[in-house]
Amino acid sequence: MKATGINPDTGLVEIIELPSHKWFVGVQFHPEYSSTVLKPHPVFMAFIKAAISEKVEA
Amino acid sequence: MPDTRYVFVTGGVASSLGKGIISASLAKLLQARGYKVTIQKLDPYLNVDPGTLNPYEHGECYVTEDGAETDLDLGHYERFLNVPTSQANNVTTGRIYQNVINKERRGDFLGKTVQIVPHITDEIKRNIKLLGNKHRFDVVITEIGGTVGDIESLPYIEAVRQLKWELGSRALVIHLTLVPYLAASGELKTKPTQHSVKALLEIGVQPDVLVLRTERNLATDIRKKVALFCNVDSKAVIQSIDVKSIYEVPVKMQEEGLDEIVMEKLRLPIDQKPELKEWKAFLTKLNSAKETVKIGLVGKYVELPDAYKSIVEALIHAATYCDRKVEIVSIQSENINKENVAEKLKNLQGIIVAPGFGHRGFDGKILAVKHARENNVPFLGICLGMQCAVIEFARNVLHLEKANSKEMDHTTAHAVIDLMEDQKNITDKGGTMRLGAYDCQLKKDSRVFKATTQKR
Repeated sequence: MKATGINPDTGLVEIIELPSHKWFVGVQFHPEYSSTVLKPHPVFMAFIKAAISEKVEA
Repeated sequence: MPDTRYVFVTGGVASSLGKGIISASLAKLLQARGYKVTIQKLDPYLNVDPGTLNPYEHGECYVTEDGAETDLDLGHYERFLNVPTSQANNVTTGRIYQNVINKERRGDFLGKTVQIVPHITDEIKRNIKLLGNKHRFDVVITEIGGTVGDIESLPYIEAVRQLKWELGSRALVIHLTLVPYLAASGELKTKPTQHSVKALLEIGVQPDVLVLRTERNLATDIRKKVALFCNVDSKAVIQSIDVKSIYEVPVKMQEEGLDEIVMEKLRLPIDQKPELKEWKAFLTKLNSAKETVKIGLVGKYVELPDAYKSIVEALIHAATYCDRKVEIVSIQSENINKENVAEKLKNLQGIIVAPGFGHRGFDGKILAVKHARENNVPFLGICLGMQCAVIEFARNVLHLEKANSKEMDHTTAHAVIDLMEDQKNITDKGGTMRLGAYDCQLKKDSRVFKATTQKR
């Protein structure tokens, strides 16, 4: 498990990932609050893309 | 800004008619015409903010970039308008009273008797105007929560009455009502609308535009009848027919000419009708998607669909751009145990463990994470969901069996989630969380970095 997103001011871990998994991401922040009709949030886009893809991402 | 126009949206007959969606749709249409618009929600309850409200009572608590805990309608405003809102966009009766009582304690009223009129109403008016003055908006749309006739919303309607008087043609009231269809007689009934407008008139407010929620088309004679009984132009009687998706409402409102009647009454110049190209492209994708993507949403408030409103909408946005319909399977985390986890989470293409607090359903969330990790099911953990992922990894991969979060178990030997230093002595539950937008540096080889740099 890797800490892949760090708050530069406080050093708090904001994102964790499992690189060996198909797509496993944990976020301390709330991407759902900034998804709009004309601008879907990239974290949700990547999550749905992983959900519909058959292949295991390297 | 001296020329700021103010639109007030009130509701009658029943709650949940969608004042927030109508407000957001009008704002969208005015924004598409180049106006700088914002929306404000006035909530008539005594909580100072909705942060401590149980989602079962009031749906999701929406958090703005400046860290304000606000009503879920602000989520709709942002999703429609693509611009952030702030604390000033959501005012509750509790906050109004708190401000007035603080002023009284400071001695600001110089010994005067402090009353609902004018002191509370003045504070309401100040909060309404603050938004227009501070950020130089062309139009401020203020949605009054609750239903006309409620005791709670009276001071707000009184403030609207006064503002309409002060601002003249720069203020306008849109009243949203329901026209029910009686299946037995095969008729649409306008009497509830007439009564609800009468209730508004009794407290001195004449609505300028009526928006009628209906499940069937309203014929011209019905609109004329409503216009006659309620003293409004018949072209200012707008129908809002039930639609499959809330995102169709702006297009429907444009067809009905809601934006044009509002601009005419506010004496704003009416130029060419905007095309809403990108918006309509989204709708086409939304309606034409045939394949589905099945996502499990694990949380403790799943019985109420509004509790995770923003997650549901974010999933709809993303799935639509991937040409999929999203099927969300809600799973109550309390009901997940070792025996049934595989059964409960089977056939899911992705699993989300939702934000939340407390012990209830925590073990179920940990089991859901384990299932996703071991079965290579795409997983997104948000807030507490992320903390569950860390704890699960520590317990089952690193074999720190007692690993926990300090918040859950303050005696744990392996506190893989600690409390923040400045939060250790906090006992109050209202307005004490770390909230709002913060910077985050991404590792270049990460999934999220890839996601944010990739094209849609």
